[in-house]
Amino acid sequence: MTTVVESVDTTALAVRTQGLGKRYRTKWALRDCAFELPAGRVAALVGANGAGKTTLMSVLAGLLKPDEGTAVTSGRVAFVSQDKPVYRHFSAADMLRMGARLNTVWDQTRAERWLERFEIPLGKACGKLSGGQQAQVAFALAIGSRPTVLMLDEPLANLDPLARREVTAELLTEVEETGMTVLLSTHVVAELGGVADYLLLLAHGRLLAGGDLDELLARHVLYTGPKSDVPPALGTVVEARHRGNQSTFLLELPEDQPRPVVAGQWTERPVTLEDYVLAQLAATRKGIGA
Amino acid sequence: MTVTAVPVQRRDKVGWGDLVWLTWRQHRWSIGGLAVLLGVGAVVCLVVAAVVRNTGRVDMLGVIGVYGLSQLAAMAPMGIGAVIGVFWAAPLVSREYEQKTSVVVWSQDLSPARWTLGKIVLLGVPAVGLAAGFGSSALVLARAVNSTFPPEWQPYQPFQQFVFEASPLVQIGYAAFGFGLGLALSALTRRTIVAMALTLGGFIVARMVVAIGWRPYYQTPVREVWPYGEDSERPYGQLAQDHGLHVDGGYLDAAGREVDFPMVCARTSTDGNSFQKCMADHGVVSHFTDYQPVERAGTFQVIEFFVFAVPAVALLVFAYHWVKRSHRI
Repeated sequence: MTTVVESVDTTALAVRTQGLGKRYRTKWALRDCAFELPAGRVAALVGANGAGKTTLMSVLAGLLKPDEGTAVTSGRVAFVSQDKPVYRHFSAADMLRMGARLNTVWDQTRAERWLERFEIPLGKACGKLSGGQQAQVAFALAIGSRPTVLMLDEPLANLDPLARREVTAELLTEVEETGMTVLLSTHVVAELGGVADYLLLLAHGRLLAGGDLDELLARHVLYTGPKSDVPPALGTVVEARHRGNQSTFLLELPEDQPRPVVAGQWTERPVTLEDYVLAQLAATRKGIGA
Repeated sequence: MTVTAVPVQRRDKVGWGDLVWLTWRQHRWSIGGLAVLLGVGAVVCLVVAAVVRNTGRVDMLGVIGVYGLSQLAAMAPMGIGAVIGVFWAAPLVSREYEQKTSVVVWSQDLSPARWTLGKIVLLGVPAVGLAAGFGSSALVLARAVNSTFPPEWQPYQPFQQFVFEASPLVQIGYAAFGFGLGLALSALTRRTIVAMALTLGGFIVARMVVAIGWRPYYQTPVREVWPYGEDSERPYGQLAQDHGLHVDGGYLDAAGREVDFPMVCARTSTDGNSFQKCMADHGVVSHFTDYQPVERAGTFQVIEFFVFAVPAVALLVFAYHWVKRSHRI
């Protein structure tokens, strides 16, 4: 099988993969992964630990060679790995100097602005900065290289709650100003509230679901009512839970049909991202729909 | 802190100047440290050599003395290749992996292949340059010391290990080999300490095996034979005065075959005559000495260079492809 990594010529797509697979010895970390990510989106790559998120990003960043399938990214790609590595003996200013030296496109103003925004001392060796500060240096380096696709692996992992909010806000500002596409991975779904508008859900190295977040959530509904073996409306059961006298169903509604109305003892509520992701992940664990 | 608006910089490619900047910024202490050490050493050698040549005196420099200094200087080149391999090359790739900075540097507009080539050239060339430069200075001092002795008593001779190995050409071979070995092990193990230890061990073993087991046989040794007998002993030290490389020596029988020394003669003989009779009884007819004539020293240095330079190139090519292959498309 041939493996091709090339640039997407259409501006509409930022990333496209087809039948992408990567294995470590005999174990497939990523298998048969196909999706299209439209340009200008902030996509969340969600999955349990070991689902293949880092592998997928490394392949897209060109750091790993896929064993099968194709991965295509448009334009320049910047990747910040989970450890947010920086050269310990370099100062933040040196890291930016390195960015200017090792990139064909470099936006010093944007990179410096990021560091200034998070009050990172420019002259101090990175090894003496806190983990959170090092992460900001790594982000500034990625932002400065003016990527068309910015990939962040667990970007908020070692930031404090306030910094998390600020980083996501700054990221959205950068997206707005530069039109870049962001792909960020996480296993903490709650972090994504109001940030991501596109979802890629990975489980066991395969893509479970993907698409526009609003559309995805609008197609699903959560019903709670008296104990029952069947849901009160037509649709695919993503998750069914029974506790005491109560049953809860997360349904995927049939496409192109009006939203069903349920009455009686059943209550309906919209599905949140967290509901959806957890239900999907739980379903794969139980083997439903696999 | 003020941020002034700098226009977005756009270029065609990452150039060698950028690689020079990166290499110097990352390795300035190890490059600078070794360069200063060897540079100062070389200058001291050259200055002392000039003084010795102009004054003809070697009774300077107190306890160490000019001779002691020249010995130190001649010994130093033995270790340069190892230092370069262990401290320059062995951490080169592994430290990037360990600190995960490989992900950073290789996800800029710089491929791992180009990065590796850059490091090989920008660290390898100074490495062989420093080794060759210091080796030459040590030799200049050795020759200056030699010039104060009559020819037959000169202390530094071409086949003497220190002198042989300090030759710039040989030094280039050692430094390149050390660098190649360190880099290959660094890429292969991805562990700095392991790579450093294996490089040190591998370098010492390779150098010893070549120096002891191979170098004496680069060319077929010249065999000198003379009859065994009371008054026909070859004068002691004659070979040493020829300054050749001793390879082997022993006894021959009438047919010219090598004979083991008959230990029984040493045990049973009571005087010289009975000893010689015993030897003759055991078939000893003549002595022989195998040696490499001093004129061959230059050729041997060229051979020694290739013995190390060829594997060095192979190791560097391997390291280059290993780094390139394990990453990037």
